[in-house]
Amino acid sequence: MVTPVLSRSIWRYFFRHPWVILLSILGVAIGVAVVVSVDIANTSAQRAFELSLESVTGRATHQVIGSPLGLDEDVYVELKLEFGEVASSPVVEGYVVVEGETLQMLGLDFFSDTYFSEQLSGISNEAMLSLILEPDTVFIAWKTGDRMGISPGDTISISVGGEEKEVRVVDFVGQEEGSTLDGLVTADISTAQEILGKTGYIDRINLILPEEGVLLASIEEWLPEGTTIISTAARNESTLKMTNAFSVNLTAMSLLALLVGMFLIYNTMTFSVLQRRGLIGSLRVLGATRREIFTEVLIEAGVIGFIGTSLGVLLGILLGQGMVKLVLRTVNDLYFVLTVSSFLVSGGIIIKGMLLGVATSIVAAFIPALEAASSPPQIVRFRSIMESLAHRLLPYLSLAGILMMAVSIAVLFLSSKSVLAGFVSLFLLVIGFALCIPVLVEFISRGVGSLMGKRTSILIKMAATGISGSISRTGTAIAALAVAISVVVGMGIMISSFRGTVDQWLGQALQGDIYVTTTSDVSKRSENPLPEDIVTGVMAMDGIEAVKEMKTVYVETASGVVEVRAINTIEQSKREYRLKEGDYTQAWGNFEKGESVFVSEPYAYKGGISLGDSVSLITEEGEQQFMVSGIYYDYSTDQGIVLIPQIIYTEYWHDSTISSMSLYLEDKADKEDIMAAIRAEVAGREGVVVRDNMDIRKSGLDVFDQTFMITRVLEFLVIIVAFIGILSTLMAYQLEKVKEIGVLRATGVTPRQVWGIMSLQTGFMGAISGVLAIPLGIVMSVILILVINIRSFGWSMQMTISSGSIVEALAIAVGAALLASIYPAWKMSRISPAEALREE
Amino acid sequence: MKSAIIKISCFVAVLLVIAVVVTIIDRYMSDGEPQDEKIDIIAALSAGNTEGYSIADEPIEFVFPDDHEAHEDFRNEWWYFTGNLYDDNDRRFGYQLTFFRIAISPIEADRESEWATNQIYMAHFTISDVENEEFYCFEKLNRGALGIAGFQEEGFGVNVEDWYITGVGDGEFPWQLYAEKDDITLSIEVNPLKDIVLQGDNGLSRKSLDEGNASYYYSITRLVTEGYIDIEGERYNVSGNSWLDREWSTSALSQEQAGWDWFSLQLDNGTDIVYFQLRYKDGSPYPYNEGLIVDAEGNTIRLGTGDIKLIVTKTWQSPLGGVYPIEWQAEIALLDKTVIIRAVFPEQELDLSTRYWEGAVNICEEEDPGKLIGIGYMELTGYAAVLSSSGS
Repeated sequence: MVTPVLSRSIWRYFFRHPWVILLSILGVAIGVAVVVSVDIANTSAQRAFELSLESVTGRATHQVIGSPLGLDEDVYVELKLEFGEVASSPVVEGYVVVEGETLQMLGLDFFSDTYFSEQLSGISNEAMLSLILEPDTVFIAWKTGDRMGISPGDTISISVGGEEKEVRVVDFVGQEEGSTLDGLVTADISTAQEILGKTGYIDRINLILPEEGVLLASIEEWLPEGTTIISTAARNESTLKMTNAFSVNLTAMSLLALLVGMFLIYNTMTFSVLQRRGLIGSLRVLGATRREIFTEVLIEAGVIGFIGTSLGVLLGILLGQGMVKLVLRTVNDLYFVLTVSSFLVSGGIIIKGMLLGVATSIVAAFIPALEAASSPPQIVRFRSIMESLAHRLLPYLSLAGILMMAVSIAVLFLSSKSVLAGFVSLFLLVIGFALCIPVLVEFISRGVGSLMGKRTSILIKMAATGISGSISRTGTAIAALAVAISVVVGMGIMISSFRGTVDQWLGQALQGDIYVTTTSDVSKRSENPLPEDIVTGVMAMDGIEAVKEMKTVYVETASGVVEVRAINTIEQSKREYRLKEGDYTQAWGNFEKGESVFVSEPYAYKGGISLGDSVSLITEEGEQQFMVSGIYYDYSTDQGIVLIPQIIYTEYWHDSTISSMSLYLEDKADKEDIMAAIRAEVAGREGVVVRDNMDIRKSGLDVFDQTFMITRVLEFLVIIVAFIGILSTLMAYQLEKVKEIGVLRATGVTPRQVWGIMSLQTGFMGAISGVLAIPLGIVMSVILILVINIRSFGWSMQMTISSGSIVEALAIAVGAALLASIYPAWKMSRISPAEALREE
Repeated sequence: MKSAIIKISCFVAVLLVIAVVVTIIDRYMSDGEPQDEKIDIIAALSAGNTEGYSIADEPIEFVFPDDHEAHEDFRNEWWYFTGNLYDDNDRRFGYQLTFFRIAISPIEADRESEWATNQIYMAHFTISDVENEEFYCFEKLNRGALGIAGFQEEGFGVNVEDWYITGVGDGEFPWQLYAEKDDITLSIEVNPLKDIVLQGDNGLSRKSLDEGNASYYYSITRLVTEGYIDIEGERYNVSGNSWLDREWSTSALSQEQAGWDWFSLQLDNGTDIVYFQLRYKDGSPYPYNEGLIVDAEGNTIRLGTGDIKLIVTKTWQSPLGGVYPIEWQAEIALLDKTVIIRAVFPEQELDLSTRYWEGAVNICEEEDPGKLIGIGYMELTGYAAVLSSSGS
């Protein structure tokens, strides 16, 4: 019955120092907000993707697919006649651009597609008839149409591979409550064939097969060469997996923000306990049990955590809207076209965020609570007793820290490819290092103190050694700061290394002077071919030394779709593929003869492929094995690329078209003139783009920056939490020292000098944390680059430690620290020494 | 300690309240279950007017086998087979296999894609297992393109996916009929026992008092049938008689008509009778009926309004709604006979795109209700709901 006194006392404490509690709530709030918003973004993107897959594959359990060029429509007819019992429906699909937005176009046979038919409940009979009967008529997802200001009956302009076509929007689909259709244009299969230029072909056949495999086996048996049957679930899973690493990375980064928030709560609670040590001692005398005190402190932390978390969840929902867009941009750049209109805030996410935030707060308050509970029953509890206790604890803390770092390293080496294990290791390392920080702080502060000569002002000496003197507070404060700043350093180094690597790679991979390509947004399965007359026209031009021809297609393998690039081999382009593994002469020798293929680094990493292994691709002539003679660096896609000789492509895929040319000019040739000539050649031809290497390099980097925008935003948010952390921790630290200052003031130190000591001390603490953060940040970036990135994407990159991120880190640390001293110093200078000392 | 417990309880309570609120919001915001609503494609197809189509308005010269083929310039057409078959143990099965053609536009646009078409084909397939009083009915529907469905000139045949009728050469008999769905298979061969007979006025069969509401209509009232029926893994080798109706039109029913009662009766003495009566939407008889008596030699007598007096003697309430007259007393003045036409069992209603009753019947003399004098098929439409003008 005594704890109400204690619980009331905390409000008095917070009332007296509102900034401390507000900052601490804000810190938790932002930490939680980051976690919640990333969760929302991930979930929304994931859900959007699932929905997009669902609207594309419906209830199909299996799909029959053909070569990248498509499947002869007669295969469907024959299948239908042969296996009339099986629910099967043909699909023609591709991409069209409407009002600058890339939408998926689905050509369906409404007679056989039972799934999609269900979505047409709101459609009038006339609309249905028009769609089936009339050419160039489409349905558009209501959400999409509404967003673009399109109404049923409108004739809109759609761009198909750069070519503008007029279509009439007959009606909206997905108008009913709760519909999730978005980013979708549907048409009758006949119309889609005509619009997408796929007459005679379909992209796949959706099948609904019963569980047991007899029927599946007989269909497999029956299928003509060059076609494959795949399981939709397996395919969707492998497609979803593409983004797994990406979302794990985002989640981990958001958890870092929360980790920093956790330190905040820890500090706040520690100081609140410290402030009330006298009261706690008295309560113990009055009969409060250890358990009561312990519970009370935890509840206090819980309440602060709860308020902060509630705010954080709200903030997270707001932040989530922007985050969804950023995640989407990355997903669109790296993986697939996706429209997210459903901004998914589920109860699950909110509860998860609440629990995480409150639990983190309570866990963080565990040590302060224990400390409070261990107070012996006595009226006055001297701080010096606590300090000596803290000093005794230091070695154990450090030991625990070293142990954790050891475990971290063990996890790193024992796990082979798990991204999650990589992050576990990273977190262990960070926390382990943080536990060692108090000892390091003690060494540094003592070291600095002893370095100071006799002529050093006593006040400066006090500032330095005071840190060591109150190590139980300063140690954790500095640890929190160091962790926050190390995140900034680690992520900064990782991003700049990555960018540097990509920049360098782009420089090397773009050896050609001029590139003639097609816009590739029509088909999911292959890039559009360049018109033949343009190819011959360009090749006949003067001043061109050599031409690299390339065709990009997406080929089926047993484990999913892989990007295959078929190139002719010319001397000039060999340098573009820097080999990570494989002897240059031998690798290219085999490649040129059409005896082998190359794979990109991520492909080799993910598939566990080494030189001499073979990759299996499904060709027009059935499944074929190709030997790998080279593994090359490539940063264009983390899904990996198989680079094959043109002769192999022509032979096995029966296709001699190309989708891009890179031109190598003669030395004396004038690039501008030739560009102009080519532009004239392709003038009026939609879907053909002429660009020079500088242009492509720049847009490559733009895409990179766009992709990493979300990472930068997260980094920025972590900086904010860190900044708040520094501010609140140091402020609380200084406020706690009121009496010390009172003594100083009583001995004649002026308010100005008090400010000097305080800013010196906090500045010093900021500097120490900055200095300690640098090695931790570097180690973190090493793990990010060598472990997390490789495990997530399969990319190896050169690490470059830029001084920029280090200077930035130090600036944040010291800047925030100095800022933190302003308020307490201002407050101190207003208090008379007598007042400050009264309680003593 | 007590206050701590209270506080923790409060804390938990607050969390619970939040959880509940959040769950409600979540429910509200997340999408509902997908609606399992079947679209009425038939309704979709029957919209629009009859302009541009050929009209059955005057008698024509029928040419066979050419007229077995599709007449795509008319809006509707069907190849309509029904029959009563018996296995070696005299176990009886009724069957229906009908292929409907429905044009959704009179014009076939010149399109690049082979999928583009103005013709839709639909097939209905039923088996009546008389012994077990089990009725199986199925439907298939697809576009008349690429051979997925349609009339195929090459090899003569009509199909919807893997259900088909095929003939020999240009349409000579025997014809093969095949349909299979959900472990129910019908595979038979039919051969005419009688010549083709033209219904109505030399094949122009009026369906209402208005000009132009008519069809071209011929039948083969008796075809010897042989083949098998599979029901859930059990094969029955069957034989018996079938009946073929061929009809094409653009506008058959008039606006005020609701449906019809249609009878195809095969008497043991070799006589076949076809008769239909139309009904107003309020259920009263429409003052125009038509029919035909075909004797054992194939000679025909045309029947007109009132030539057969029909009285309902028993009805059956469909569990899906609607009351069907499943037993009739028919007074056939020309044959000086009153017969009872009775469904072999009531549950022969097809719940497909359109709902109607079509099933096997027994025919007895009124004086001797226990003695079977023939068997046949009966079709009852317009009882379930207002019939769309293109329905059968």
